[in-house]
Amino acid sequence: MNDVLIEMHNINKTYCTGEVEFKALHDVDLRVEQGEMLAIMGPSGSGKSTLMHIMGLLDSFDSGSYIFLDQDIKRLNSNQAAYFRNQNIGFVFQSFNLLPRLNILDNVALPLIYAGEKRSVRFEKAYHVLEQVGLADWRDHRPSEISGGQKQRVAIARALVCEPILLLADEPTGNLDSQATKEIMELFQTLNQQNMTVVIITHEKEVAKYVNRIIKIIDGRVKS
Amino acid sequence: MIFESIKMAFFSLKSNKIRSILTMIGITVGVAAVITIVSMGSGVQELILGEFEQLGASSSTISLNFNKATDSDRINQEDISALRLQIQNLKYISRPVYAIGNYEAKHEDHLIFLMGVDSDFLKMYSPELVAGRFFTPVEYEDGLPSIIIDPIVANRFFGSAERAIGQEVETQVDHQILKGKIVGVINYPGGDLMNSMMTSGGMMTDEIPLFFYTTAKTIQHYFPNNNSAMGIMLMAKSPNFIDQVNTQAIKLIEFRHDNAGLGIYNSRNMADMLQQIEKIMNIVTIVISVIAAISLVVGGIGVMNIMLVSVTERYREIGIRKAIGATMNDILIQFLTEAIFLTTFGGFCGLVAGVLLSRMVSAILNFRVVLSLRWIAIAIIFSTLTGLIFGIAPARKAAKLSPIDALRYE
Ligand SMILES: Nc1ncnc2c1ncn2[C@@H]1O[C@H](COP(=O)(O)OP(=O)(O)OP(=O)(O)O)[C@@H](O)[C@H]1O
Ligand SMILES: [Mg+2]
Repeated sequence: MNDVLIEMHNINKTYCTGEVEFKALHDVDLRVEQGEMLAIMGPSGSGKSTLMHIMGLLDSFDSGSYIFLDQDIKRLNSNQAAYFRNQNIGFVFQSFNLLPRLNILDNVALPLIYAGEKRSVRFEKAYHVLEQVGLADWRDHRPSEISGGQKQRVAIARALVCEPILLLADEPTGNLDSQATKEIMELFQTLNQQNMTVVIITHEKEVAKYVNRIIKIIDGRVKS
Repeated sequence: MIFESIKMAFFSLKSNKIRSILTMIGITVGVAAVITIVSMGSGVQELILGEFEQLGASSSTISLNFNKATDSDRINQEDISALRLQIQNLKYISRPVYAIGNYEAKHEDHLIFLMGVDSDFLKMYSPELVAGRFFTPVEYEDGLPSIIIDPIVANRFFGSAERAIGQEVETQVDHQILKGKIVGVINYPGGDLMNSMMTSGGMMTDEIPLFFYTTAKTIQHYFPNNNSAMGIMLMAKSPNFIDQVNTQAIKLIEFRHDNAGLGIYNSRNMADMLQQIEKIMNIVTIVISVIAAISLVVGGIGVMNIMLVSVTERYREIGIRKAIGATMNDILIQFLTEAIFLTTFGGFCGLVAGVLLSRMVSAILNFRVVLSLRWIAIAIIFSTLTGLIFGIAPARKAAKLSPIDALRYE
């Protein structure tokens, strides 16, 4: 049942800013199974976001291998990577990253434009996932008109709308109070029970309670 | 996807209304100015060409060079008879005369321009007869006081062309009176051209005169002191003969007045004039095109500037879009569409403004403006191209952003 979704081996990542080189990831090995709910924890600056960006095909890595569902990620060009992200990975960010000028429904439907879906299909699917996160009644509002917890649920709806295999969340509760944190984590749990693979980056102990497995990262190295 | 990007572009420009409008104005003003100038220019061109076509390619004029000529150089009626006899391939020859005078009606004096024409004159120009008749051979021969007017005069003083026929009019030239009867109303499309020939012949008036026509003999008869022949008009049997007719005519006139080689007589051939006018119009077109190009470049730089600002402002949006699956091309098209939308819509507004403006000018100055489909197409195509050319750099900048750089950007 538990097939391997992600297989990373010896991943290295160095940032170069002018003269200075900074090695953000050292020989990282990581394996994520389908249907898992995983937390990546570590102190600030340890390389958690860097790892997530690489997992999410948002950033390149210097060496090592990365297989996602039998696909060798190194071989994808930027257009293929964009489509791969669109179809397989949903992102949730700490600062929500909704487009302020679009209403809630348009925000949620946005990834479907890049999936090439027809307008009617887009709004139907977006409405459906908004219902799933309990915000269908808010669809005509702007992001500025709803609370942080609601924004994050909209962001999760957007991440879900293309029916991805993997949800990647970078400190999704970092800007939320404990009540909203609880709601969001329960939502992730529900999704996980419906067989969604969820990877959450966090440094909150509270959040870690909800996951099956925790990976620790310190100074760009994985400590299990 | 294209329709989607246009909608997206419209939406994003709408949420920054004032900035978008200010950016557009650059293009709008340029296109409006060009469209106005062009349609007025084509109007003038059509007017002039229309009158020349009326005269035909086989006609020419011979006039006195007023700087050199003396009274003895004037072309007289005997010259005309001689030319008619001796020049081959000459179809018509006319020596119109004129007198400036008054016409009193409704207790007001009106300046009139009394043209004395001969039978060839009307044959050459073949004006449209609105009411009544042309002059009869007897009238031409005997100089009877018959008068023809144009519809403007007829409507103004008699209500209609029909009612003008048979009316008595009294005109005065230098205290001499000509009492005549209106026999016809003609629509003479060459009137404006005649007018300009008069003025170039040294006659200037502030008031636009009313045009009255009578026969040349009549003017001679009633105003014997009049010495106003301004030149002669020739029409050859075909355009091929006009040069030959012209040269021979000048030679003969010079021979008869014994003033050969002094350059007393100017000759103008309609075909030459047409060519000259076309040359001028081509220059005007080039000048307009340069103005248009400059204004589009200036407008385009404005668009580029705003688009660069917009890209920087929207780093985060670009990052989000890329994260959720937008390719480089998607982003490129999005920003390019915005730029093209700005310039095309700006150009369209300029087109509308230009059409309205030239309509207004046409209403005020009372002449027809002509806007060809060609210029409408050029205006739209070039404003679109401007958006494409000046939008490509900002759009590429946006497309090339890496998603994480764009997401991390504060
Ligand atoms: N674009 C970049 N250029 C240079 N250095 C970078 C860049 N991005 C990240 N880094 C460095 O890499 C290291 C890891 O960054 P990363 O964002 O992955 O940390 P993090 O674990 O997510 O921290 P936080 O918990 O504060 O979000 C940091 O020291 C950071 O300074
Ligand atoms: Mg981070």
